[in-house]
Amino acid sequence: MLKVLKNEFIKMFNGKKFYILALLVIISIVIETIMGKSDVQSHMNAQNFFTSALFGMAMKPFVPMFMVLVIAEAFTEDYSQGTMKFSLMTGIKRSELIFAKLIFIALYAVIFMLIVFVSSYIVGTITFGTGIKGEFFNNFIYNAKLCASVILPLISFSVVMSFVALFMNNSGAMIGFGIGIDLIMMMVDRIKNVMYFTFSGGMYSTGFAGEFTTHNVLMFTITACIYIATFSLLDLIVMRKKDIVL
Amino acid sequence: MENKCLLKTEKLTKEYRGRKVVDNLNITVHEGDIYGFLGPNGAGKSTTIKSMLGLIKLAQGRVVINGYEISKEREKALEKIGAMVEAPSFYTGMSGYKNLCLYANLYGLPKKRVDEVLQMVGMIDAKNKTVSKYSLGMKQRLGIARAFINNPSIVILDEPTNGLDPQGMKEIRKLIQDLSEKYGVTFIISSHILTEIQAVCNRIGIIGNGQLKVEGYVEQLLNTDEEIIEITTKEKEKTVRLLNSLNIQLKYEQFEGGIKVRTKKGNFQSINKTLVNSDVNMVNISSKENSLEDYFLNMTEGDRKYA
Repeated sequence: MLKVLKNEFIKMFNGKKFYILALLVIISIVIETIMGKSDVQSHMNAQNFFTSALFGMAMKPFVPMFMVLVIAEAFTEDYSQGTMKFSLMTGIKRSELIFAKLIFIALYAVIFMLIVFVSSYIVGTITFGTGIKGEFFNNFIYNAKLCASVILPLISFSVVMSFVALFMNNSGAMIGFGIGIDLIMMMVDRIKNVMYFTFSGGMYSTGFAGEFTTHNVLMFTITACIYIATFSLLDLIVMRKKDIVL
Repeated sequence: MENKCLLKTEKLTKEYRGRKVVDNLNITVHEGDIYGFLGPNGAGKSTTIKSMLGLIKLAQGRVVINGYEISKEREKALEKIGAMVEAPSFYTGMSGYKNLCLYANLYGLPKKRVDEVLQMVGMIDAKNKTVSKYSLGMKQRLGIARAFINNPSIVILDEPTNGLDPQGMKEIRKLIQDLSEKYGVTFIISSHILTEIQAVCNRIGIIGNGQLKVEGYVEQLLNTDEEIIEITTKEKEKTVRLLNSLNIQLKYEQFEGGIKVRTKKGNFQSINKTLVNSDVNMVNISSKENSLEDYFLNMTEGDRKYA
C-alpha cells in the first residue's frame, strides 16, 4: 500500500495541478484580506482573520471544489485513461490500491488545510498585525483546533465523492457532479441541525466559529468518522467487483 | 517434443448482460512461443487478455500462468508476466522515465532497471521528454518497455502496431523478434494485421464470437504444400470447364475478376499451359502461397455480424 501511496505523491508533485490549486487558495486568502481591509469596522487581526478566511473563501467554496478535482484525477481519470489497469497488473491488490488512494486524498485535504492555516496567518499578520499580544497563543491554539475540526468533515466529503468517482468514466462529468453536490450541500447544511448528520456538515459550520464547543466538535467528528468508515468500505466492495475494462 | 506450458485458459467464459463475449475458451501457450491471437473486431480478444491478467471477473473457467491460478494466487501468477493492453496509456504530464519509475516502484525494482528497459526498446535518448510529446510509435515502445520492466517470462501485447504507419509497424515487429531471440521471452500478440502475425508468430489461435475456432502452429495450419493460383479472366465458364478436365486435385472459387484455384504445389505450369493452349483470354495468372489472411478469412467467415 505504501508503494501506491508513494506513487500518488510522485504524481502529485510532478504535475502542475497541486501548485496551481495551492496558489489559487493563497490568492483567495489575499482577496479576503483586501475585503477585510476595506471594511473599517471589522477590527481584523491575524487571529480573527483566520476564521474569516476559513469560512469565507477557503471552505466556501474553494477547498471542497479543489478536492473534487483531485478525486476526479485520482479515481475517474486513472481508470478512464487506462493507467489504473497497469498498476493492478503489477500484482498489487485492489484493496491496497483503493486504501492508498483514500489515504492520499485524506493527506491532500490535510495539506490544503495547512496551506489555508499558514498562509492566512502570514497574510493576516502582515496586513492587520498580531492583535492583543497576550491572547495570541491562546487564539493560535483555538484556530488550530478549529482548522483540525474541519479536516474530518472535509475527508468525509472526499470519501463520499471518491465513491461516486468509482462509477464515473468521465472526469468532466465527475467534476460537474462533485461541484454540484458541494453547492447543494452548502444549502442543505444551512437547515437547522441538519449539518450534524450530513457528510459535509462540519465543513460549513460557520455559525459555530464563535461558539466552538466540545459538543459541536464531537458531533461533527462522530458523523464524519461514520461516513468515512462506511464509504471506505463501500469503495472497497465496488472496487473488488469492478471489471477493469478501460 | 512440445515445450512447457506457460499459460493456459480452461473453459474461460465471460458474460456481459447475459451475452457470452468469451465462451468456453481453451488456449495453451508454450514456453518460447510467439503466439498470435487473432479474431475480428468484437470477437473477445481484449476480454480474454484482460481475463488472463485478472482485470475482469470470470463467469466460469480458469486461467493458469506459470502453474498459478490467477483467481487464487494472483500475485504469483502476475509476477512473471508483462503486458501492454489496448492503447499504451501513461501519465502524459510526466516523462517516460518517471512513468516507468512508478511501475518499478510498484514491483520494488531499482531505478537502474528503468534505464535497462529504455535501452532495450531504443528510448533512452527520449527518456526525459514528457509523454505528451511522444509520437504514437514512441508510446508503443514505452509500453513495451513497461511490459518488460519486471523481467517477465511472458509478455502480452494487445494490438502493438495499432495506429502505426508501415515504418512504425516494421520497427515494432523487428523489436518483438529481437527481444524474443535475445531474452527468450514468450509472447502473446493480438493483432488485426495478419501479415505481421504471419511474419512474427510461430503459433496462432483464432477466435470468433468468443469461441476458439482453431489453434496450432502456423506452418501446419497453412499447409505449405498448397498454392493459390489467381486467374484474372472474363471467360470464367470456359476456364472452369478446362480446370475440371485436368487430371489434378484442385478446389476453385470465383471472384469478381476471375477464378481462384487452390491446389498442390507444382501444378501451376500445367494449368497455365492448358489455358494458354485453349486460347483463354487471360489478363493475368499468378501463384502465391496460402496466406494467413486467406486462412483467417476462411475460418471467420460468417462471424462478421455486428449487433
